[in-house]
Amino acid sequence: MEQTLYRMEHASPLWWPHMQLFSGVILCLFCVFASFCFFCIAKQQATTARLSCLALSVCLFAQACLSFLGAVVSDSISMTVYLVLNCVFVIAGLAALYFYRSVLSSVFFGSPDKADFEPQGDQPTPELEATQKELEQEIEAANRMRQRMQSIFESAPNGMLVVRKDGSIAQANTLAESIFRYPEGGMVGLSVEELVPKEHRPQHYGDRNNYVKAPTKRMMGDRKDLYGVCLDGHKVPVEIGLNPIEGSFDQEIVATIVDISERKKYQRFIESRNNELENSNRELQEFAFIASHDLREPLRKIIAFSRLLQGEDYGTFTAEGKEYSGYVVDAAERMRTLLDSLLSYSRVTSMANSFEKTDLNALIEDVCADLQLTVEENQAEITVLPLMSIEVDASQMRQVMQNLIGNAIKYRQTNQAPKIVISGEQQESKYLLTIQDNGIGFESEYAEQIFEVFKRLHGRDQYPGTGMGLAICRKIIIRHQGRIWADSVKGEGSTFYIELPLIRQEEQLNE
Amino acid sequence: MNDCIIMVDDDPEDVVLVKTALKRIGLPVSFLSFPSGELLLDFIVSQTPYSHHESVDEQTNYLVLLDLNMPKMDGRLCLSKLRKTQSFSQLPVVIFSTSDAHEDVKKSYEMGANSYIYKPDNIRELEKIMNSIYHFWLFKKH
Repeated sequence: MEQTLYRMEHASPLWWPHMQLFSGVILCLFCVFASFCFFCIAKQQATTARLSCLALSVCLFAQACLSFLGAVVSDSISMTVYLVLNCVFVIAGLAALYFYRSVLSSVFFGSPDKADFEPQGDQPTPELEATQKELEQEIEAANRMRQRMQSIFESAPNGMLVVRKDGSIAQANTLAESIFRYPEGGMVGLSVEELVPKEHRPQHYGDRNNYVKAPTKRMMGDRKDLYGVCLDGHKVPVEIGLNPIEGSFDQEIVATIVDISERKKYQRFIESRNNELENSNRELQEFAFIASHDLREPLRKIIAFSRLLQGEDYGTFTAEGKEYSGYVVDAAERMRTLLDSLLSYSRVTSMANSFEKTDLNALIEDVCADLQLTVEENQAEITVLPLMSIEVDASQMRQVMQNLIGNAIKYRQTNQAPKIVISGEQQESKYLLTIQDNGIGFESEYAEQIFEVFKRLHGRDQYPGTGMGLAICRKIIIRHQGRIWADSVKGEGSTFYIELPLIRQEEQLNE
Repeated sequence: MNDCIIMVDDDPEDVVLVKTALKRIGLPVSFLSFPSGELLLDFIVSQTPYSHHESVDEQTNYLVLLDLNMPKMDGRLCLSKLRKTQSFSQLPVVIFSTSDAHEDVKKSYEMGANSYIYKPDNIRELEKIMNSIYHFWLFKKH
C-alpha cells in the first residue's frame, strides 16, 4: 500500500494507468452515446444526409472502441501510440463535422429540400448568401425574359391581343392598335366584342364562351371572311389565330390578327386577271373552232359547184378553162385540208378525252395497222421495244404516234427502206419515248421551228402536208404535261423524244 | 300516193345542190325546203290528215332531210319535237349535216334519227345518196 502510494506520489508512471482507465471509460461511454445518437438521426434522413450521419456514427463508435481498448489494455499499449490514434480519430471526427456541416445544419434546422433556410441570427451563413445570390440571379433572368417577351410581343409582324376569360383586352401590341386605329394603350380594358361588326356580335359572344370552355390553338372563323371594326367604324378584313396561354391565371387567350386588306386586293386583282385570261383563251379556242368549222362550209360549196361545172352538163371548158377550173378545186381542197388540221389543232383542248392507263405497245400496234398500206408501200421496218403502260389520252396519243411514224416514212431516204425504232425508258417520275428513224433528217437549227403552227421545211411539190402535224403533237404532249423535242443530222435521220410524267398534277387545284 | 322530200336547211346553196341532184337523176318526188325547224313543224302539222276521209292515193309520204346547225330552232330540237309527237314518230328523218363529230352522230341516233348522212362535196355522190334514200324510205311504200 505504501509502495503504491509512493508510486502514486513520487513515481509519475504510477497514476497514469488509473487516469487512462478513467478517461478511457468516460470517453468510450460518450462516444458510444454520440454514435448511437447519429445512428438514430441517420435513420430519419434522406440518402446523402443518412450516409454522412452513418459515417459519423461509425467514426464515433471506432473512437469508443479505441478508448475502451486504451482503458482495458493500457499496459500493453504505449501511450504515444494511444495518443496518436486518439488524435487521428478526433481530427477525423472534426473533419467529418466540418465537411458535412451543411448536411448537419439541414439535419438540425430543416430539410435540404426546402428552398430557403430560416436566417439564423444576424450573421448570414455562406449557404444563405449563396441562396440569396441565386435568387437575385433568377429574378434578373425573369426580368430579362419578361423584357424579351415584351419586345417579341411588340415587334411581332401581326397584331396581338391578350384577352381575358371575360372578353376584356389585357394587353395589345402597337400593330394591333394600328390595325384597329386605336391610340396607344387605348385597347386595354376594351371588350373584344367592340372589334366585331355589330351583326356578328351575338354570335361572337356565344362562340367565345364556347371557346373558353375548351380552348385550343386554331384559326378563327372556319375560313370564312372575317372583318374587324376600327375605332372610326371602318371595317378591315382580318385573319385571326387563337392560342390559349398555358398556365395563365385567368385562362387568357392570345389572338393574333393579320390585316389582309392588301392580300384581298391582290387576290381580287389576280382573280380578275385570271378571268380575263380564261375568257380570252376560251374566245381563242372558240374562234379557232368556229372559224375552221364555218370556213369549211363555203369551201365545200366552191368545190361542189366547181365540180358540177367541170362535169360538162352546163357547157364545156376550153383546154385552158379545164386547167384553171382544176386550180380552183385544188386550191379549195388544199384550204380545206388546212382548215381540217387547224380544227384538229383546236380540238386538242376543246374535244379532249380523259386520261386512262394505256398500253403503249398496243397503241403503237394499232397505229401501225392504220398505216399498214403506207408501211407496205415503203417497205418500212418498224421495231417497237417493250414499253410501259401509262396514263394518257389514248386517242390523242394515237394521233401523236401516227404523225411521228407517218413523218418517219414520209421523209424517207430514196435509196434505202425506212427503219424506225421506238423505245421507252423510265427516268424517275418520267417516261421517255424515243422514235428514231433513218430518214432524210434536217438541220439541227430547225429542231424547234418544226413544231410551230404551219411550219414546213419543204415545198408542197416535194412533200405534201399542212405543217400542222408536229404542232398538234406538241400541243397534245403539253396537255399531257410532258415535253417533245427532236434531234437530227441532215441526211442521217432524226430522233424524236417524248417525255411524259408518270404522275400528272391535277389539272385544276381545288384550292 | 305522192312522195315528197322536205329539206330543212338554212344554207341555200345546199338546197340548190340537192334540188339539182334530184333533178339530174329524175326521181318522181316533189321537193320542199324550209330554212328552219319551226317552219317545218308548222307545215307538217297543217298537212296531217285529221280524218280518214282522204283516200290512200291522196296521202303523201314525206321524208325529212334535216340539217343540225340552224338558227332559231336547230335540227336537234326539231327532231326531238317530231319524235315526241305521236303522229310524227314514224316519219323518216335523215340528218344531213357537215358535222362529222362523233358526238353529233351518236346523239342524233339516240334522239331517233333514221340515218345520218355527211354532206358530200361531189354532185355524183349526192346523186347516189338521194337515190338510196328514195329507194329505201319512199319507193318501197308503193
